[in-house]
Amino acid sequence: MASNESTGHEPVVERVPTGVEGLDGVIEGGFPQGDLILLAGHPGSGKTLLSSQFLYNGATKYAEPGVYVSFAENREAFLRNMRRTKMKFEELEKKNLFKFMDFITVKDKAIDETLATVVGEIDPFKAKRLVIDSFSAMAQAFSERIDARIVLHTILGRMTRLNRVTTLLIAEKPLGSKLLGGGMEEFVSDAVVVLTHSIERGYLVRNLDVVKMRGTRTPGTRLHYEIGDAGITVYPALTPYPVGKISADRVSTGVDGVDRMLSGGMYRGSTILVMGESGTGKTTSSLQFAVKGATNGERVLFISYEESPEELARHGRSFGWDMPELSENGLLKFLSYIPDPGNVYKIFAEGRAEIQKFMPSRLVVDSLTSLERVMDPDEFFQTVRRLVTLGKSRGITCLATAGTSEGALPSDFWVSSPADVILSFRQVESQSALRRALVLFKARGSPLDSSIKEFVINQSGIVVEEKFADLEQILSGSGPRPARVEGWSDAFANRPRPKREEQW
Amino acid sequence: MVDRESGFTPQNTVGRASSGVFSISVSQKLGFVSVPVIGVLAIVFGVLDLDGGVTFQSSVTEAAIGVGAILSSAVIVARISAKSFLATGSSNLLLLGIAVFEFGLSSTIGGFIRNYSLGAGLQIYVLGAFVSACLHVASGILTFKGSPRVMTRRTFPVWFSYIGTVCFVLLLSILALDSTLFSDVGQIGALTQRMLIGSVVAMLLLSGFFFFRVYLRSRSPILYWYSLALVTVAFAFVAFFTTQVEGDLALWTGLGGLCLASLYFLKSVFVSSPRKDGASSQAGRRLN
Repeated sequence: MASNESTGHEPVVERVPTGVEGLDGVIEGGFPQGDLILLAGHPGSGKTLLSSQFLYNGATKYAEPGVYVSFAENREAFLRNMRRTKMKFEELEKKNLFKFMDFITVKDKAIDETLATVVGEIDPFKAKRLVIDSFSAMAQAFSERIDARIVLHTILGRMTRLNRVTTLLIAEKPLGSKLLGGGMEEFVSDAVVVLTHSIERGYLVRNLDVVKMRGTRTPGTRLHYEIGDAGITVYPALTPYPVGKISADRVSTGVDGVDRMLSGGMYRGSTILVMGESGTGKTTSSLQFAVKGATNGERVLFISYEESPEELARHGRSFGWDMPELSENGLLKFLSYIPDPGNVYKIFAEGRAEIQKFMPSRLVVDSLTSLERVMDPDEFFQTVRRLVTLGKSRGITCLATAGTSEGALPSDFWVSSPADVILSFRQVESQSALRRALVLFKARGSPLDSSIKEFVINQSGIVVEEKFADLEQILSGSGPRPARVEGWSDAFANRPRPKREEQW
Repeated sequence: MVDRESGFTPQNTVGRASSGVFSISVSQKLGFVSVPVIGVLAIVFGVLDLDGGVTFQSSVTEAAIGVGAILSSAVIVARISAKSFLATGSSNLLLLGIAVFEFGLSSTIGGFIRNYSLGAGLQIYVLGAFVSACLHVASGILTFKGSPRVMTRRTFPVWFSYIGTVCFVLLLSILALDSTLFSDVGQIGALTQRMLIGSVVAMLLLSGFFFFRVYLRSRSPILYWYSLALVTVAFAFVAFFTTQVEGDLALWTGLGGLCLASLYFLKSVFVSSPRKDGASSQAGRRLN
């Protein structure tokens, strides 16, 4: 059992940790002790699994006995289903830490008797945790709706509070229905947790909403979760990090010319967004940023949503960067994912865990566009804001790339505003050849070098050259030269010699 | 339809003739006629010596021709060539710009120095023209055969070449004034001088030929006027070749030919007109 160390004059609320990964962290350590928690959810949303984890973790981690009262399935079916997980309830039964009570055949008149049996078991068993699965099934035994409400209000409520037994009351939420169970449970319960799922772009996305929890500061945003072999894992909300001390130190982007444009590099802890069309050198610039940091002895975490570590290593090798060696030295770490709406929150959780473990000084995300395609716009914005604040809160200098269409402006990549530095790469057509241009659209805290520079990608990576002096309208993608220069250049242009008969 | 003066067609900015019919504008015809006129005058005043012994010396007029016509046109051509090199990286354009700039600078400095030391002035004049003619031949060959391109870092070669040209002409001037190394070149009628002037004429005609061949391929009026300017300079040097006395009419024919050549150089630059398509992308319009 955990106690919540509240500040000020708030009363201390004893907490009952669920042991569900990611959930306790967002509800101040666990459910308030002795509360009646309504766990409502769609069919197949994992209500039984979550409540089983609540009991199993309570018994194994906190030595708190638990009782599972089922009106939906018998003991054998329950144990068979749980065998797929790593939860060994039979062993808990032997240790007297778990009791399964099966009431699937209970009828109207016997409900009072059943509940009396449950109450009678709780006390001698010294149960601290109770699950009733489900109130929806139990309520079907009542011929009158009012009877169900009375039972809920009086017997269950009193039973849990008097005995300080934290109770999970499962309610079914039919698909498409806005009601939770019978529409009365949420008013009697101390807390309401709702599990739902939806189909996003062809992928099943699971959502967890903590709608109500008395005495607890709940997350204001929707959480996501995943059901795996180990049970349910809840992923925290994408809320911004609190911004810590802002650094005035400059760090190199890895490209000397860009450092010069930024008056000596970007601020430590700031975020640079590299925008550009496909093939302009965004990934190369991000690798250069990573390699520069790693060669300076900084730890760099490179999260790629487009290429595997092997592909990135090969990419780097073409510029003479020995990234596998940097990885072996513990300076460079690659994480590679193919995000889809169903795994994106898991990816974030793994990335977050890796950041906590690896403690990088630099973070690369290549590219945000891959995330944008699989996320809800608001959540995507939160993701970008979280990335930017992550850098500021922990002093991690971040580089993120984003693919844009030809001639795009920062406003076209609508989440660009939180970035501290916006660097845009362009392809410019000139004389039947593609040239590359870069321009700084934004540089917070630095004088903005507004010139449009030409850059090349040679054997040592990106090299910034002089500014374009001979072309106009570079940002639009094609750079017509001043007319006289155009005419003069064309007249003396290098053209293949035509066949002899065409010459005269 | 080909806009002969601008050199632009709706499809092709070079203005390639579609039918193969050889037709030129009135101004181009007049320009073409002026070249043999200079040649005839050079023969009349220089070879046949029919000037009646008339001489005219005016340092002010010569300075005005040097700065107002030759140097100014050379700077304009050099500037557009440098910009074109920056845009395309074609080496022939860099050579072309250096050649014209070097010629304009050495002619002007040589013209000034002539007022104080005729021999030194002529040395600078002739040697400068010789170097320029060599560069023109190289540029003409590259243009004809297809020029290699410098892909990156183009500003440095431009600055290096143009500053190098200024240094070279200054060095040439110092050597002409302070040493006797090229003294033969400064003597009117001397074999060395005539050989050099003859070489200059030959090389200018050769480079003009190459540029004209490219013109025949592309029908670009820019190339027409440029090759005509080179041939006119060559004929002006023919006039210098026949000069026997300082200030005679053959010399003034040569100077007149240089003025005309300057006009043709300028014509080649300004014959191009602003783009007619004026297309720009959506982003470009938004930025404007």
